[in-house]
Amino acid sequence: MAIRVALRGIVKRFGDLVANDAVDLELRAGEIHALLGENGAGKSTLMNVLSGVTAPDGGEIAVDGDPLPFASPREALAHGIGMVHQHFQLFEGLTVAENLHVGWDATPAAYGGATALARRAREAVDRLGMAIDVDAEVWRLSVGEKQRVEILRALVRGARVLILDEPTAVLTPKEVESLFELVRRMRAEGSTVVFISHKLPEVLAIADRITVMRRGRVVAALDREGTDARILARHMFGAEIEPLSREPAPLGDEIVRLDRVAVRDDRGLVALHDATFAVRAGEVVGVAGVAGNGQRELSEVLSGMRRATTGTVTVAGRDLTRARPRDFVRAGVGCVPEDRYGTGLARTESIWCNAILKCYRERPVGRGVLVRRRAAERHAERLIEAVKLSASDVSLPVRALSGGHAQRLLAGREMDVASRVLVLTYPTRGLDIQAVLALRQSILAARAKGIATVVISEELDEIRELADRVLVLYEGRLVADAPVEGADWDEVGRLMSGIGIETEDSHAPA
Amino acid sequence: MDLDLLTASLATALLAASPALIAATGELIAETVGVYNLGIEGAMLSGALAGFVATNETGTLLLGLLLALAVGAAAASIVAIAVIVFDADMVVAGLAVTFLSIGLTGWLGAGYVRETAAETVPIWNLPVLSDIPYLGEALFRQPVLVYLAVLCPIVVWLILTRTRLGLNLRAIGESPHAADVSGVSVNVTRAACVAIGGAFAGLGGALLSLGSVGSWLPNITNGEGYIALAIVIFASWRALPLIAGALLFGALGTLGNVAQALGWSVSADFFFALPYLGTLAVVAVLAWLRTRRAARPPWPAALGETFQRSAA
Amino acid sequence: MRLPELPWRVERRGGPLGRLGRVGPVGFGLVAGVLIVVVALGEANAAFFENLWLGTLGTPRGTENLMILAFPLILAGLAASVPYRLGLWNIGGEGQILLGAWGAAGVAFLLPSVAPAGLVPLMLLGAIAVGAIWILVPALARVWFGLNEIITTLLLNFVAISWMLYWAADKWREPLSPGGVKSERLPAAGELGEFEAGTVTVPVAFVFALLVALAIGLVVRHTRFGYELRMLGASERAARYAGMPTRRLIVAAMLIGGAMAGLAGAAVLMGEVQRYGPAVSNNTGYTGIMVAVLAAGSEVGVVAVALVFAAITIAGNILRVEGGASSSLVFAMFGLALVLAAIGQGAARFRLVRRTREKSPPPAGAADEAPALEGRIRGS
Repeated sequence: MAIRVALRGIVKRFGDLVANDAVDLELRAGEIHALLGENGAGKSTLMNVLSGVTAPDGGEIAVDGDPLPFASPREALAHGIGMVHQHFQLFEGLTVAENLHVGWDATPAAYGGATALARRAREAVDRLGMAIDVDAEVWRLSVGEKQRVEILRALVRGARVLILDEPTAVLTPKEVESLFELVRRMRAEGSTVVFISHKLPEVLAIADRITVMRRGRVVAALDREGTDARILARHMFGAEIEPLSREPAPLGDEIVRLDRVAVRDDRGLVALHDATFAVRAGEVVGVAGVAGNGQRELSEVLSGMRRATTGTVTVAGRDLTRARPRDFVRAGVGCVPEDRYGTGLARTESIWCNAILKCYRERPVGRGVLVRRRAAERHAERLIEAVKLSASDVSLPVRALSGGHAQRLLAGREMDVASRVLVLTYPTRGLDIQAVLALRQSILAARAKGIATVVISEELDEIRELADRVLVLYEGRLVADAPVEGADWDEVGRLMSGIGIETEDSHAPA
Repeated sequence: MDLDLLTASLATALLAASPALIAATGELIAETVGVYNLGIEGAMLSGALAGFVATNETGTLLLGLLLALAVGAAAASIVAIAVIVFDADMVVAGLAVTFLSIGLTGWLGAGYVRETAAETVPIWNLPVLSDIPYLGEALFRQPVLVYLAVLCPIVVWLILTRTRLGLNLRAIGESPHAADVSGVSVNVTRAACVAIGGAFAGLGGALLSLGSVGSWLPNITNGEGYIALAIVIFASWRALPLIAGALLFGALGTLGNVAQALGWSVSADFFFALPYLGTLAVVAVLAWLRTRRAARPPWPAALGETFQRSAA
Repeated sequence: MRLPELPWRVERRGGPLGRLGRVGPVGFGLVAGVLIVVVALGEANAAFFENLWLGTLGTPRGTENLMILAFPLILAGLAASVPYRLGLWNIGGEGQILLGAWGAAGVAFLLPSVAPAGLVPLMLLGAIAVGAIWILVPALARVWFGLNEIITTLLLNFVAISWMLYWAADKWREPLSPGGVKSERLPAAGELGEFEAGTVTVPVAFVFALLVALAIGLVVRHTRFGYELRMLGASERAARYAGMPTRRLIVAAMLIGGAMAGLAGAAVLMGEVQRYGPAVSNNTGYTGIMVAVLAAGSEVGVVAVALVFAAITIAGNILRVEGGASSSLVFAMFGLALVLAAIGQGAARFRLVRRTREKSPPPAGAADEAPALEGRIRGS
């Protein structure tokens, strides 16, 4: 097959970090090419360079043999290279039709109004044999539809190389299947699809060729035929990963109980329906599900950030349904929220300020109306020692820490609070493998201490490794509750995507 | 109230509304692409002085207006450069330019205070329309720039809703990053829009010194640039309602004259405060109404955000 | 195609700015702003700098002047800098100053026979109360309707001017006053006087302003309220997550701002002008915003920048300007300093890096993401 795109010696640095270190890559016409590697391996950076978003510090690109100047996304699009970013680059307040036409040379200089634009968009979408409501404003669309708009935007401009950055991360299995169908159809039409992923199974399911990146370098370029998950994992991580060992632990008393709890989200819609479950001391309960199905609200109701509209929340025998976040802290509930920066930590503030966030009112840090600086710093130093953080200066801002270290600080602070209950929301999202292992180990340590733990996660592997029991959260409902030992994981995966569940109109206001 | 008073008041209200309307249109252009330009007051003030000085020194009104456009654009360009090239805080940059303009115009214009304009914006009676009894007198016997002021938001509305350029501008205001990956040159467009917005403001200022006031006074704008900001909020970041917002402001400012003519015994100080108080009240009530309808906020989603491609 | 490579490239700093990175641009802006104007006027000669020295720290009289000019700016600076800690803008200092002075004057005119020990605190309390009330509506509109506080506080300044004129030129007007709008003189018991410290006469109002700045600094650094302000300023969601009363904190910070501006008005009235009128504020509220921005939220910085601004004012008076527009010239210098400092602050976030050819492995634990805008409380 003809080589459509060749990248040679691409170098990109961010400060002292070398994100791409002399990377070579060849993409052929009519292939699905997977770019595999763990988070931070440099996959997205490389594709941002190819799509003109990021200017590299060195190297060259050729498309169909012609050199491509590293100019801009516009230039890349003109050469038929389009990218669908992991964080959608859409205009939420504009309609689908408008989204498709922004920055497109073929948009008439004076198009004469929304109706005319919608007609043009509809024609283009029909030509590609896809379906979407072009008049809808994008913020009203589902995640899967938004992704389709992103893909359409590249395709209507004649992209022959389509880069998909972690496209399945936010999709339900059903949506993943239709995405795969589309990708295969594009291959059949001779297009090139680059599929960025850190998930082995889906790469093996879809790719023709696989390039593995680690720490900014290409470590392997393989054909799908003749490789398997073991080989790929070895390339990805540099060594085979030993699974964590988990001692069977005796279960204690019931610590947390949610009884028929319903919660509304920020828009006032019911995001969690009728949730009932309990966690016992020394038990880890995994809540599996695709993000956006009520996970955030569940984590918030478990930490007092959000009040239940109906039902009761009990911690260690005390009714905390109407309690404030402080009362949850006093009751020994620690919670790692879903957004590490923003809610969990304030990036621009110092480590010590962040470290005392949950205890600044209590002695010894707080005394009357005062916050004692010396005691606060000692608390922070004790905390970073406990989580084995290398930073020594607690007056540094959290911004100076890497993602993994920041998450360790956050988890450490919450574990310090969590004398009875620990709630973790996507605890290892975006971390490198070392940080993931360290964090999972400390979760198991908390379990061994007899703490009731809830792990809310999208990664079934994570739940399999950590949890004693698995719940599945789909559209705000708990649709399964089973022991991890002997669980049917295919069934769990199906439930996560809503297959086999009868639903009413689950987003109607109650 | 007799009809003559009403007619005269309407005419005055329209004239009083025009400078703020032109400036508000300029501010809307800047805010549409996501740049919050508090320097609009400064651009207006600089334009007012530049236009006045050029007209009086050369005796040519057209030169004065052109210089007002240029100086307004230059003042806004300081904001654009500080914000876009040097990543300065938008509010700080805008305020700084306004303060700089207040100081500079007060100093440089000291010699022109109370001089009358050598030539003011000519009045143009629209054929046919100006002969309509009362209404014609009120609306269609105005300085040329008043018609231009009303035309500005209409033209901007057409551009924003019906052209590729307008679509790209709205897109930048929604998400500069997405606009960038869609192939729009974000920062160049933003800088141009801020500068053009400043030019509008400068022209609005010149309409004060060469039109409704007809002379140079220190700080002649007296906060009309801020009123323009409020009018943009009033209009929910849409072009056509700017006209209504500006007219409301103009009408409030005219009430004092009406009261005087009718012999009401209310302090003149109250009427001086009325346009500001009234604008504030209307904007607050609209904001309150908006909170009762849970919807997307009406302003451009990326308003106030700077954009650096390397940080993508 | 080979990329053309320059030996240097501009790069965003990953980490936080050091002390020099924060103070340097401000110093640059202030010095360059003044020098540009002085040079442009052709006054950059030895005589100017000698006069500047004699007019400020070089003589007891100069030092007193410096303090007299600085104390309103310290209080007005605090009026803007406390809300600024939360990313909120109090642009209404000008109006709050006029209203605060009105409150103080009102107390004095209502209670003319109270002794100084009682009247002075009452007047200051009156100023605090009225200054805070003047910002109450913008503060509540901010937390309840998400209405941008910049525009509301700004518009209220113009309302405040009308209010001031109504009282100074009408209700409290001094009947025999030949020119200018001003009220009758305050009762003598309502004066903030001065005292001698060695050869220098120190205005009590200056000491008062320093004490207020000290108090604010202590509250912000060492109290629970101060910690909550800090965290709320850094991230609203983190503050809510910790169970902080975020709306109450926002309103409190803005009310403190209004109260500070009210105090500035009262201090000028009681310490300097003695008569209520336009002389209570000479763009002091707007200048206070610039002081706060240049001080970057630090109380020590507010005092320092206020003193430098006072010196710039003296420099402006030394420059012989035709038409008596020296206060405009001074304001222009402030504005120029602010523009240059803002540009400098932005530029300080970048650095020039020499391109290197050798390859180095990424260090562990380096910052992994580009700094993002976050935590700032935003509204319409």
